[in-house]
Amino acid sequence: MTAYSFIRNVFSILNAAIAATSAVRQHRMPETGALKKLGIREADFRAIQL
Amino acid sequence: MSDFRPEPQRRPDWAALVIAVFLALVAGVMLWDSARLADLGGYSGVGPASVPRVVAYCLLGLAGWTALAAFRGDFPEREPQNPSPILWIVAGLAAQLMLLHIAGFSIATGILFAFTARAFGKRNLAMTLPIGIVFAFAVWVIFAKLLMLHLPPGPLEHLFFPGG
Amino acid sequence: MGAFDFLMQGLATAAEPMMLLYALIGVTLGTAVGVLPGIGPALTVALLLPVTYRLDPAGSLIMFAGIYYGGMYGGSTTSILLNTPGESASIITALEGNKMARRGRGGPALATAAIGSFVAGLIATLLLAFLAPSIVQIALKMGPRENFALMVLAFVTVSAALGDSALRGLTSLFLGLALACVGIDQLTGQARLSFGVPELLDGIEVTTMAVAMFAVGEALAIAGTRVQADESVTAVKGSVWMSRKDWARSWKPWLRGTAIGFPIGAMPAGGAEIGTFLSYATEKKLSKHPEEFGNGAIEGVAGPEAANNASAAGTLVPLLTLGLPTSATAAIMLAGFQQFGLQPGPLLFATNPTLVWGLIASLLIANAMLLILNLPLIGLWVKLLTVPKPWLYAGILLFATLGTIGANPSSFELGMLLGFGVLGYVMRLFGYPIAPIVVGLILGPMAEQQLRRALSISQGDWTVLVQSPIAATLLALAALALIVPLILRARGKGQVLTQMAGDED
Repeated sequence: MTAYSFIRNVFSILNAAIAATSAVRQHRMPETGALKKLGIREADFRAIQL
Repeated sequence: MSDFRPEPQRRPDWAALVIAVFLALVAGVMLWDSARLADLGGYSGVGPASVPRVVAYCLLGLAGWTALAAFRGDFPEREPQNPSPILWIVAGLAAQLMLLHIAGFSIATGILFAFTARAFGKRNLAMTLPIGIVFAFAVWVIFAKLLMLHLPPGPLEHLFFPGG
Repeated sequence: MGAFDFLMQGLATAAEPMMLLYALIGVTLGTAVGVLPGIGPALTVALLLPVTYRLDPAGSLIMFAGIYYGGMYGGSTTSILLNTPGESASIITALEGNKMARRGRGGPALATAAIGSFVAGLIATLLLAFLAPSIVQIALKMGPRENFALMVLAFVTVSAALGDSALRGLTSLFLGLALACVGIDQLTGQARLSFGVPELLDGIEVTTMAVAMFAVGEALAIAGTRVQADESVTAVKGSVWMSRKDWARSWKPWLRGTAIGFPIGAMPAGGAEIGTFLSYATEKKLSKHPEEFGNGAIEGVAGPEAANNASAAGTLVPLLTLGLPTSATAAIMLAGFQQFGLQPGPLLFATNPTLVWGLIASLLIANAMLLILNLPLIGLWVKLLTVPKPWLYAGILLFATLGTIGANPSSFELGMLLGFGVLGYVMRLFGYPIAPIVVGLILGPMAEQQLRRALSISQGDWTVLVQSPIAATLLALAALALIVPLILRARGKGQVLTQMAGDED
């Protein structure tokens, strides 16, 4: 992994975490893309009662 | 990309437009209020009216932005709401604030307690009302008598603590 | 004297019997509210503010901090046993934790969560203690303009950077700032936005507003939702203790979770939740058993639980050293300091070191108490979950109004509680975040004061705000935090994220 792709990866994960956080704070489902980036299965997340 | 969805119908979101009007109203009130302040800016030129004015202009801008978002349908979908439980809670709070000084803390708060319980599914007021009043009275004794918080007494409290 | 000596002195303060009692009450309450869905630490501290008005300041603050830490512990219990997170920072715990519980490994899941929280809390509190003096040194050199710039940065990050809509975040913030203008102007004594109503001259009571937003607004929102989920508690089967293998798989995630959670918590607008998501993603990437993720991998509980507790300690860094709240709970704790006439920040370290260091040291003690409360006594907390919703919310509203009446027994104040409660409900309904309006109300007057002080020093020259390198950097950061997310969002609502996700796979 090159340094550039590593940094890009870190930022995209950070971005996904921020997006997911803002969604759950308002009791909404995060976007599929964000969950995928974080390694979370959407069906599992849906099962949690927010 | 396979997940191209058809363009949603562009209808103005009326509720969001009401929010935009509300924001503009708040901004208007702030501007009107700041206009009658004597601006004692002194050296700095920044007085008591300056910050409210800046906040008001920002709110005006946000009102415009909200209106734009309302026309474009940018607001997230709202979950369908049950109006009756909400009205029960609001009624409970309103009853408490009106009765607080007449009926005292325990009775007023007991009504709030029973109405809230009803909003969440305990419908039998004949049962929840006494429970609420007894519970509120116990709370009154603990907080008003032990922790010296000032909670308005009423007939019920005077009955048990005639001196206070 | 170094941080170590101060910490030892603090421990001496925090170990006094009365302080231990306050800490115990705090962590017990905190665990309880963490376990109960619908009430969080922010609301609990807000409810307690009027009640603690007459109590000892140090003790009350120790209690508030205990509630904050306790909430992070308690939230995991419901996540694991019910798949219903008590706090949003425990959502990730539910992912793997509930799967573990269903496979009869609820005991080890609860244990790794509690021990992980303890390890993280311990390390993060020590980090807080050793970082604080150096930040205070820097902060003492800051003048009004730097303070103002710092607050602008906090405003922007709380409202715009986080959250899916800069519009709604900023609207919430400016409503808070508008409310902050109500009352007598601190510098000239003129009444602003009070319309001749005497009750408004003192300004909007922070506690009334916070209780209304968090208790009344939340109760209305939950009452109005049509979908009522059914809940069933998964009984804890098998051993509560972790096996040797569980320990071997847990200790690294604990440390990594701490390393991720602490800086995120200390960042402006970092919430504990971000750290938990990051920790989960990290653990899944690094795990030797990636196939277990989604089926009850212990790393997925250990890491995020450590991260959320480390975040709680991280949030205290800017709060104590700079007086800057970065989350709703921290904002309410700031209000807690203010009710005793204390202003957290660098000066408090100089004027009242006993209190500050006692508070920091008490966190270490609270952490140990929480470990005991949460492991052997777990059954007690599970019982709390059987309180039926009608009684729970009726009780919450009873105490919400009790606090307001206790602070000011007037119908006007209750009317404000009702009004702000309805506002909070409408805001939730339309997807407006709650934290910015609370932070705006609390930080607004301080920011205005700093701005006016800076401008009166410069005799009205606005460019002075960007003439100091620190202030200019902070303002530039604030501008970036406002603009970058806007651009990202404008480039097609989440498509950027999806694309990035696609690129890497």
